[in-house]
Amino acid sequence: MTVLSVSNLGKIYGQSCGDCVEHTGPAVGDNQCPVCDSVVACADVDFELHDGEVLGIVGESGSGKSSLAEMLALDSDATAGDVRYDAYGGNMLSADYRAQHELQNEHIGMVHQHVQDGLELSFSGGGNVAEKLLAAGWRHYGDIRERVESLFRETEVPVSRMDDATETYSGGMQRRVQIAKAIANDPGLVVLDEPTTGLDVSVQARVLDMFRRLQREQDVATVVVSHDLDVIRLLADRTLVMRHGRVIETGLTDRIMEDPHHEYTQTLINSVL
Amino acid sequence: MILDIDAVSKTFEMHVLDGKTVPGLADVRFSVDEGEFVAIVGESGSGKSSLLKCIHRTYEPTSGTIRFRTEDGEIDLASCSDRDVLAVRGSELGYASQFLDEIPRVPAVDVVARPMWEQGTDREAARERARELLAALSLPADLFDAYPATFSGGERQRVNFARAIGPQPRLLLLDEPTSALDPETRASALELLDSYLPTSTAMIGVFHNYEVVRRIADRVVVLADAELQRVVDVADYTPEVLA
Repeated sequence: MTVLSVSNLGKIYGQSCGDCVEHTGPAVGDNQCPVCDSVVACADVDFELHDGEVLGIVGESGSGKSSLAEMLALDSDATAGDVRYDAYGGNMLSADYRAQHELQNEHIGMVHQHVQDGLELSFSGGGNVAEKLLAAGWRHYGDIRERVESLFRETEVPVSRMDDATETYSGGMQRRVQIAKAIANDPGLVVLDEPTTGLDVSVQARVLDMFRRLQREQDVATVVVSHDLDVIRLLADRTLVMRHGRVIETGLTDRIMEDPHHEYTQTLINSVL
Repeated sequence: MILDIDAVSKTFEMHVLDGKTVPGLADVRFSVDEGEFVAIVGESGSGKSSLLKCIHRTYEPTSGTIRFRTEDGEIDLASCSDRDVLAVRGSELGYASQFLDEIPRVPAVDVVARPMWEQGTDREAARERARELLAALSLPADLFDAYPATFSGGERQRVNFARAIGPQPRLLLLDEPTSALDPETRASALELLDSYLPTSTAMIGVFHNYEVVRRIADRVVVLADAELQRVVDVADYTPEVLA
């Protein structure tokens, strides 16, 4: 039932003086430690995610939301805390390299904000998705090809383009291929980092709708990070609001949007054009 | 009794106004039985929508309890976990807001069908039921597969109404769900509440129209300036003001 459980998660860039967390945060109004100049990307993050739930993480640039997403996807190391996935018995942060990779390959799907972080653009779209299957132990060429075709259909990418280089795809198609890759191994958790940034408005809506359909059908737990409140509103059941590396408010997404409590959240909601 | 609201208050703290507090509801209390229709009336700004939003937990009550008898036991909607609220929304607790709020580029029939298939109804069966509901609300059939973003206010409201009643929740909150409808369509909408929903369905609705209140309500809750004025049987209700 609980797919992911996070407590006291934090990440500090730089050689910490040991008191950076006390010296930073919303009360201070900065995330850089005045003593040692380290940057507290995020600190003291706690939440639990169950099967099928979608958690939104919203905040402005520099709030720590992307750092959090990268840690959850095991793309970067935390410096503090405890992260537990149901697919692994203990604290992920103390797991060895091999266990981390196994988890990353088979149980976590990540959709990156920058396509070049998620896809090898000179490879074919199909090849990018196949890579994820190979990492999870798929070996039979015919099976892989069949699975990739079915993932292309599910994410609404033309199967006829499967063998073309990914760099020849439109931005919307590239995002879909990333989603196809993220869900390739039926992961327990998908992390979406700014899933619609850089796409045309009309394409954004279709990508969101496609993802929401897949997410519900497969009941996959999802963390969606975005600065765009519309994205959060349309996808997330619950939302964390971040600022200066801390979670400052958490609640049902509609409650956060219509009855924001924290001063910063009120400003954020009132800033929508 | 399916819902018991006791001493519910809601205060908004406006940080942009230097922490000024604005009262939304003050010490509201009443209960609702299964199969009962309670109408909420009062002038604009009296707290009608705030009350529905507190029950739905779109607003978090500042104090008080909202005890909801679900099929799995009683929960306090004012204080239970977010996860508990999500679990009852849809199947047990439905809400038709004044405005349709959906992902763009989703056809009307899917907007209506989605909550049903998310409750586990087979996709085609949900679409079929969605078409029946939209037809009963006289939405032209050639609009079923069009995007609601291009619809008129009344057409969008019909989609919204159909979406809210689709999953047949045990408690349905209606926030002026027929305000943009012509009298004929409004009558069809109210008829649909009778014919489509089980008789045990409890409903709480905000209405501005006295005729509507008289036709469908069992009891009337009158709000003024965020406070509960009185709760009366509909037969004893005479409106002083229905702005």
